[in-house]
Amino acid sequence: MADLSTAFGLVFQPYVLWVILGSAVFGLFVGAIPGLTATMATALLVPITFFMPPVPAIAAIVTATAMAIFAGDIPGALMRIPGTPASAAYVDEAYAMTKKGQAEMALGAGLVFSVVGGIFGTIVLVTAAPWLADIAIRFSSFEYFWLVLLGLTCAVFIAADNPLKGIVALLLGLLISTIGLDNPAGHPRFTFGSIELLGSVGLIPMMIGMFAVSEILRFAVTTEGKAEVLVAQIGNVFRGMWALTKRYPGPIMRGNVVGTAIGALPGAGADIAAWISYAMSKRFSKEPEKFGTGHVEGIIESGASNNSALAGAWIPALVFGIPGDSITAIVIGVLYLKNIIPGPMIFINDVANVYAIFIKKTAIRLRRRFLA
Amino acid sequence: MKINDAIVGAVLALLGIVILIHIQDYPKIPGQKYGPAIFPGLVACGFIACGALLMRRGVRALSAGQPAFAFAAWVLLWPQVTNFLAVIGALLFYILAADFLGFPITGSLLLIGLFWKFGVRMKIGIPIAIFATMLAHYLFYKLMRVPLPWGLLEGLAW
Repeated sequence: MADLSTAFGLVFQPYVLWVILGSAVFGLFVGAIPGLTATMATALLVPITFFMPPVPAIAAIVTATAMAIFAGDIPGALMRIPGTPASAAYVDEAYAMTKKGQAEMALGAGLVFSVVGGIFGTIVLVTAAPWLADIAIRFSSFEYFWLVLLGLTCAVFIAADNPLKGIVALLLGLLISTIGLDNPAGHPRFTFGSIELLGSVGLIPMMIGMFAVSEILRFAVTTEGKAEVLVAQIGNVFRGMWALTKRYPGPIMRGNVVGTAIGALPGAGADIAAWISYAMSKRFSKEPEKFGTGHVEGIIESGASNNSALAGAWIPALVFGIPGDSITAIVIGVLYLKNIIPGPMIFINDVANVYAIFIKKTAIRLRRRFLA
Repeated sequence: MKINDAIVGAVLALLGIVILIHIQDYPKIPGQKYGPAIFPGLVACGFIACGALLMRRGVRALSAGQPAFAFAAWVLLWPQVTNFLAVIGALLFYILAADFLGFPITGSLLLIGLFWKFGVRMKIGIPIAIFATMLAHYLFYKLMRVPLPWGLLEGLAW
């Protein structure tokens, strides 16, 4: 208890709160721009956190990543371009909802259930971290192999109406991932003498190409006079959220649990959690036929999932110093710079919980302005 | 545009075969069963299998009287086709010209060109193109330290 009250004392200092506000705006900005990921937000924060004491430094990173993952939903819902890879799983769904005039609900579900997921992940982090990390650390190559395979099969799940073409798309992705030097023998595969290709095809150019350019082309060839920019008055995004919570308690809980578990596994992060949760949501839903037509259920589950994965990733990072995803990999570096060896910091990380609520408050104010 | 599955399948199977031929030259790792060829090889086999299945499905659809090609409405409309080509052309233009002209000039020209093609009035289009380019340049070059090329403006680099 004494630790907790100390932690609260550490967090509620004006300086820390200003840092949180600043990094919330920064995270919102980075997340909302397609192609800039939460990982990039963290990496860009590192030089700034250099000049901060440990608590605001970690606060800045936690806030910016949580904001970035949520903000990735905004261009996803309004323009069909996911802001971060973590939103890619349900971008079609959210856009379909916006088209039906339910942008508020899509964004609200993203926001509210992201926060729910974040808080859930943090509670698990604080209470069950040592136990969970114990399971994750026993994973060997075999378990990883099956985990990755599970992630890949989910890609086929998503293309449910045409699984064969889902497999073809999956194979194309795998083929692209073999480009470059990154193989056990260090042999340049499919580079055709190009130096740029030696470094393989990065996720960001790939994502921009697949989502952003295709969306621009779709706009360029539209035969309708007006572009499909959905200018709708975004009202209160919190309206109806309680009803959704009562309606979908199962998916919310499942998203929370799956997200935390996947986040806690080293190497798999928020984006994989979102894909798996979306696929699970569709699989277990009572009305799977509604998926893809603007149905909120999948957004709820994977929105909760990608944020709880974010918190879950801190479990192995803090307990054992093994990063759960690329963000916590950077965080561990920052912690060492601050002379904090991952381990005891777990108590101070309680603040993440408080941040999640705080973010929620700033988010409402900021988003109105952004969306108007 | 919809292309009959048989054609897509044939292209995929062909791609698989080309990959299989291509990876024959890949070196083996002495003393190990798996070299750099194993993974592309598996993917190639997957392409061939999926290609065969798609071909079978496509042939059935053809014999059921479906057309081999079905074009979307825009393919026959001149402005839409040129719009499509303009976007692709803009990407190519950036790739080819950015190193020589530099980001500020390439970006501005590219946006002016696209604005013109999409019917934005030049009185507004030109200032916005330049402003947007410089904003993007500031964000990425200054704040995020992305090494955008200066090209012709090397002397003005800040």
